[in-house]
Amino acid sequence: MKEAIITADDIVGKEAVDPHGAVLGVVVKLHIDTRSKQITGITVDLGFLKPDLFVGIDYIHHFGVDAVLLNKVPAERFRNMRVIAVDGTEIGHVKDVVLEDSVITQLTVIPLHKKAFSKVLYHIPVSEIKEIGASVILRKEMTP
Amino acid sequence: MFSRKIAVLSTKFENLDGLPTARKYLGRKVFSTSGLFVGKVNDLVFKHNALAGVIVSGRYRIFVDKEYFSSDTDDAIMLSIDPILFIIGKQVFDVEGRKLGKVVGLEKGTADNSFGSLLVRKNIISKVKKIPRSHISICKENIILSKAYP
Repeated sequence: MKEAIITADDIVGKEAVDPHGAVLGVVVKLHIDTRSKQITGITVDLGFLKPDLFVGIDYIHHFGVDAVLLNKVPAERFRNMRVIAVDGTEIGHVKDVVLEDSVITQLTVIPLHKKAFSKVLYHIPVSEIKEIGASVILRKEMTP
Repeated sequence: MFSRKIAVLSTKFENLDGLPTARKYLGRKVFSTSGLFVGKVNDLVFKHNALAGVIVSGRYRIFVDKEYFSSDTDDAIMLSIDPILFIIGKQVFDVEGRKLGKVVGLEKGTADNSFGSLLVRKNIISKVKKIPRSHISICKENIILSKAYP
């Protein structure tokens, strides 16, 4: 039972790792509800010039020895990811992720050859996405 | 626009319409099956006068056999695999969130895209650990081992 009890020092300063193994950043804060005395989540420092990310307790899989393991890939991870069609044609980069009830429904993509001052954006529904790995790969060939 | 017309001297072909030339391959981007940018085509390799594969220059200089081509367009070549060389340098965590180190090498017997074990080292002075492939649960951005790892 002694091993099941950890302190804030055991959590703050550790890396936050998503289910794909990606290291998101370092845990900088622990949030506690003063009424229920329960941990409500953690704040992760994503790096220089990036805003901090709050991760709710429901998305934490495990407080590990050297890292905090999450059970969900945060939408933040997909921003600025390269988007390519199934045949390798580069479409652009992810600008934003549209969520509904914490589920990704759509990606907003900046076209690869976007002209200055142009507001053209692609809105790609999740049904057209084949895989999200190192890049976002679409199901179909797409003519930009 | 001002390219010279090519005269054909062949018993097999009347014209070169639809036939790719080596120049079209050179510089072409190569992506793995998960969308990882592998590199650009640097050279072509032929066997028995047929294209055997391409040499890709990027983070590594790799020969990729044509059998691993998933699609091949003017823009890019998509592979049907994630080259295992890119596992080197990834961090390794166990299921308890313990950081075991970084992958410093792979134990493989053949030249195909498979390996037997990972060679993992925590730091410069620590010993290299061998982790069998069967103990790997997730191998994407980094590596997370399964419960089976002691």
